Amino acid sequence: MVLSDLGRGNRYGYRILSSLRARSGGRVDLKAGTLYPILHKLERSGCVRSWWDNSTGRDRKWYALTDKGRHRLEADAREWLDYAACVRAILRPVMGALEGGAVEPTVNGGGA
Amino acid sequence: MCDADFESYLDLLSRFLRLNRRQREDIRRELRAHLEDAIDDEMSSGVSRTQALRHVLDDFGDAAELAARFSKFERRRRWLMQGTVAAACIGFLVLAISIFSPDATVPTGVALATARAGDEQVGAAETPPDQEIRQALQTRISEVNFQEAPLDQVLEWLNGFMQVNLHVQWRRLEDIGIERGTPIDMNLRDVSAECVLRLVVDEFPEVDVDYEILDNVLIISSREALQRRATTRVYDVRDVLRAVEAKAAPAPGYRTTGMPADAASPSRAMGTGGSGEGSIFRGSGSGLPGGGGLVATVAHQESPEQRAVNEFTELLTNAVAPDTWQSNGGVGYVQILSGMLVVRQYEGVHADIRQLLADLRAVAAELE
Repeated sequence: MVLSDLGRGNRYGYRILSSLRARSGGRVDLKAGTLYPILHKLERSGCVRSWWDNSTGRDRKWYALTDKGRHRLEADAREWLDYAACVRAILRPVMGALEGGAVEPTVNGGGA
Repeated sequence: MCDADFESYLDLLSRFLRLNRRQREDIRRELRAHLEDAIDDEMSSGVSRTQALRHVLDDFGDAAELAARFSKFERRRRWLMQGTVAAACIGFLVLAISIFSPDATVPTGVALATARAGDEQVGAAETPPDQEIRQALQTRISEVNFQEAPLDQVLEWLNGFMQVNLHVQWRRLEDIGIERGTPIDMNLRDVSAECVLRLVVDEFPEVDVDYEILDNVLIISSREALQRRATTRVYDVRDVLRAVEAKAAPAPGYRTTGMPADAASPSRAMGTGGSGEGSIFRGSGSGLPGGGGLVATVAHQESPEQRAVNEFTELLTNAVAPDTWQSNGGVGYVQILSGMLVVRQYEGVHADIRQLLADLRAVAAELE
């Protein structure tokens, strides 16, 4: 999920949190304590790179996807979508009974 | 005034982080920026700066836990994604699958979701499960600072560093009068997790609290409850016994010296001639826990092998956790069969035994 947000553009930490929250309609609410270790891990594995910038008025650490990160995002996204489609197929009879109609999968996006 | 709170939080976090100075500074800077943004946001809905600060700090959570999460990646452990929706989603889907189509094979997506950090995972399958815990127990912790910290939180915090399956049998502990909220005070630097665990467990002298490793679970419970979990292990002690026999001169009987002879003393006769004081266990003060002061046994005509066995058994039951052996009403049992030391004991005592054997071997090697 973090990767997918960075896929939309360069970000700094706080923006990622609020962006994910907004894009998920409030359902994804990562905490700072979760996000920053993730970012550091991604950086260490080469999926993102970072730099300091204070042109926006505050001294902030920005992140951007690397090529490796982009590949990882695509691979993860594909797996998730496959998984969701598979489960959807299995659950179709159930969902029909539960809601009398198609149900939207609740998560859509990158794995990390 | 409240900004100072944040600085202290960052200080604390910084000290828990096991990273180099530059990385710690980096993290501080980044979190400070995050804090400012978060406060601005909160304040825009009308709360005061103090309230906003409090709220955001709460959100950050415990400094030690946070530091542990940063360090977790350093140790290349598994990482579970913590998005709230993701976890709920998977849980629901797996449940639904298992209920409505019991013979469906769960797609690899589940493995994806629950263990998404494969790149960095070390081959954990190579080490047996309890080895992992033993290693985790050796994790160094740079600073321990508890001031009336509740016991359950202390244990959780500790496990933040070890990252093992921890199971605390609270009901058992409550049975012997130990509450979850029991306050713990401790102030240490650069210690192993096992050391901290031992010290915490030793906080309760009248009641017997101990820990044990079962498969890949670290269990903390009352000795009473763990009694049923004492394990039997076998140690090959042929080399130790042989060293004893080799040094011991056959003799009808012997006295105890009553105090450890020091290593340089020539009176520590090593089996030359019939002085009858040639046991390796006699008076080898350095390195042996509780060395010296063995009780003399009655002189029979017994073979050197038998004597070595008896002496060793006696040493063991006197030097290691004396009150836990059957002779003192405990659960511990020991017997030596053909050079195999068979012991039934608690995990902690087994660890002590291992240490004793290692020390004996080291000293024996020096004496060669």
